Amino acid sequence: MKTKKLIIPYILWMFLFTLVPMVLIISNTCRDDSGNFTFMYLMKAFNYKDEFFYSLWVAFLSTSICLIIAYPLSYFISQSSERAQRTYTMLIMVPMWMNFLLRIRAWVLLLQNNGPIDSFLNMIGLDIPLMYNTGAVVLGMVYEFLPFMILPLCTVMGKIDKSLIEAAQDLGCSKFNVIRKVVFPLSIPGIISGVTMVFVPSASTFLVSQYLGGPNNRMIGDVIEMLYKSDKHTASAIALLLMIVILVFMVIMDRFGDEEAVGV
Amino acid sequence: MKKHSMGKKFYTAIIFLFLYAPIAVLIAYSFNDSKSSVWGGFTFDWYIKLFQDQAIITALANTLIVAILAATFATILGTVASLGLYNFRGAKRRALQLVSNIPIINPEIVTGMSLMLLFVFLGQVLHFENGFGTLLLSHIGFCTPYVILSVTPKLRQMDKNLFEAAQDLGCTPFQSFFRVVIYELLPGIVSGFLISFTYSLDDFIISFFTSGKFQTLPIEIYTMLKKRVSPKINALSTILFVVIFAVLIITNLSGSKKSNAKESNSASGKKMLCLALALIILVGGIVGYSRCSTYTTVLNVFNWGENIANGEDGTMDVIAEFEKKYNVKVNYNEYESNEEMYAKIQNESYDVIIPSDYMIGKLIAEDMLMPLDFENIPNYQYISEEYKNLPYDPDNTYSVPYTWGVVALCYNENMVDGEVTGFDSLWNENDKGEILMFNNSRDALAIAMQMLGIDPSNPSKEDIDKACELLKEQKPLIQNYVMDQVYDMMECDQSAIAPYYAGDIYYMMDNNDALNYCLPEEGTNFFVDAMCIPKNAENPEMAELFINFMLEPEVGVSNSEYIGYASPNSATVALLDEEVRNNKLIYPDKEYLDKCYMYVNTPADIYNYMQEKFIEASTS
Repeated sequence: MKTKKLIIPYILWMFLFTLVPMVLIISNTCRDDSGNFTFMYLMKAFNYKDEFFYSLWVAFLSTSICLIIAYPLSYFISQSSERAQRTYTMLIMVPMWMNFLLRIRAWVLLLQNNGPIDSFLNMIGLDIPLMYNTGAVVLGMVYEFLPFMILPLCTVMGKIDKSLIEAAQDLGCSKFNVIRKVVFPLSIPGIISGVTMVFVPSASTFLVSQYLGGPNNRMIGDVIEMLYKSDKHTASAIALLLMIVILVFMVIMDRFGDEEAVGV
Repeated sequence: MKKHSMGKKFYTAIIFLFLYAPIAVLIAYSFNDSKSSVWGGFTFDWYIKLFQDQAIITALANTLIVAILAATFATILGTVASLGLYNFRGAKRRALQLVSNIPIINPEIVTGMSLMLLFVFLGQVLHFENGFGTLLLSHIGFCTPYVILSVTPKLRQMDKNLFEAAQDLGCTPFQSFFRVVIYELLPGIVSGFLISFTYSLDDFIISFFTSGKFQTLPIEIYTMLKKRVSPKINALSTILFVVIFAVLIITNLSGSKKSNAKESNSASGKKMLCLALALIILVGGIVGYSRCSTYTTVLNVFNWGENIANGEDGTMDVIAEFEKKYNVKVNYNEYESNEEMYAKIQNESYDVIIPSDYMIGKLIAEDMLMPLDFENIPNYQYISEEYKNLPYDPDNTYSVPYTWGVVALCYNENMVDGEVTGFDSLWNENDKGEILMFNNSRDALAIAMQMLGIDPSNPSKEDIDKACELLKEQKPLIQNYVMDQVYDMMECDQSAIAPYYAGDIYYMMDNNDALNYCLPEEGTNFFVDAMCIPKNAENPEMAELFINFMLEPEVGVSNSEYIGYASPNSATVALLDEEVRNNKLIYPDKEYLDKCYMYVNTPADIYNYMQEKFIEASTS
């Protein structure tokens, strides 16, 4: 079909602004300052495997929680009137237009010892450490990326033909079954987009764990950030490994999506 | 039925509470009569100060222009690409999709640095400098994948026959897209635009490396980090928030009674148009407001964030005064660390930079600084002898000291255990979980080396190993490794003790009466930030005038009051409040300073080793 040609400008774009910089990163990884080929930096990158796995773990938790929270909300929103849908979408995006750093710092003030949430929990007799742990880091990630799960889900669910849902109900489906057998399979493309948009940045982002986490919650993004200023080579090597792992993850996601789509 | 809808409402409300709680905090602090997180009473001051701050208004205008343009171009590029991508199957599509997603996966700093390398290379070939254009290109680059991610699911959902049906009915492919397909994709396109706009609005890292001398708001905010983010930014966010909400309400009230699907589509198109127009008018207004000066000469100054008096709290607006006096436009840019500054001056020319001691040593060794002509800087006479000919610039040919200070300990009298006399208090078991430590290899390792009796000014690899062992012992006691977070932590009684820079401790003590300081008895790090002119400066004469102006005693007083660090300028010090001048934290005695050491230019391999070992010690 003719429309295949439409990809050409983007391919040129990707070549210049994605692939060429990628080559620069690979060349940084595999060559030392005098230009000799070496595996040393890749080996060095393995020193940071703990932070690496920890980041993937945090990203996994954040993505799962985002999906669980966002799915019902997106369903409610997609069932509402078109005007309400637009308003909800905007309401979800607006907080993200405030500076990220200010919002994370606001969380610090909310969660800190003797802060509002801690005081409330103490009042009802609960003493939960709110800050400087994985929970706080995941909370920060969920807060930061939740909208990027909700939006694609809403978009896709809004497109589901309402008569399909009604037909299923007429044929005696329970509410739960309507969601399981009709809505869920049709919303898979949205889930895939959402999961990608949340998982990928939360695995590589920085600063969130520096503010909300403690000394045991350093993430790979923070390591790259610290290293890049002094040692571009090792930092590039870590970035390259991270990219490979995430690409593999996305290939799996994509396969899964394709099969599901065919199955439906 | 009723019960269900109650549950729905409750659930939705909880999520919106989650999304908006931090915004409420952020807004509340725009009315706080204190720069810290401690509540100091209600005030509108920050709003007034905001409108007097040209730098922030300009940065806001720049940010909005870039965000709108980047989102628009990314939406077009991404939508077209999605249509193309839709017709690919299997491995080819997967490969394209993967390459497309690389900008999202890559940690921002890596993308930023690699794009900077690319643009610098292209700039040399095609003769352009990094600036608005390169910033816009890089933003379009990281926004487009998000557009593709939000349009593609809509395409997959669309009835495949729709496009062909339209063509069968006589549409050209072009018409069938704009008359039929686009309506099916619209929600995806709109959310792609919104996501792009959001990411572009808030991007710091990539912007920092690709923007040249074009300053955006996030850059402005992040460079404030070393000091403290000004509540003016909260005020600005509050105004933006209110404006956005007003626009939302207005667009929703007008023409709300149409229910027909077709009609509502065109109505929503009109609404989008209104919104876009409103935005453009707003941006135009801000841009107009921010660009009203006409100067011919431009002086490029590159300084730490929040490191110059800006007219607040009765200080002098130093940049504005200089512009007026010499009829020159100062293009003022900021950075957050010496290393970031170093990366940027490799490729861009600035007239005046203000690095720290060891960085000056490095720049001298790499022949990147211009010798100063002290004939043109007569005010250099005011600099006290103690601050001339320091080890980083032994013959004082390249630099003029701007501020200085020491690393000291800040502690909370109600929380800390025992008497604080030196750095060993940072290893006190009884304060477990309430001790903060530098999240910066140089300063953290230096403290550990002092504990071990090693001279930290120029360590060997073995010294670093030993220091790291000590840091590993300390780690279980540490609440967190921090930099700017230290302000909130100490001022809000979260931590018992922390090492930080003297001038900053002085301000923390201002905001919490329980805080006190200690100059470690074993001595400490003594640092100087000094003004230099890079070799590739375009306007060195004007730069020397600027340096001379900064040494004017009154200018120095304003800067000292605003920054809080000590001044090496004897005429300035003489004019300061007695209370400040005699403060032993900011101006320690000469006998104490004799016990202190200064960093010198560490060789690159030692510095790398330091970074590596510190990350290892502070993580494992």
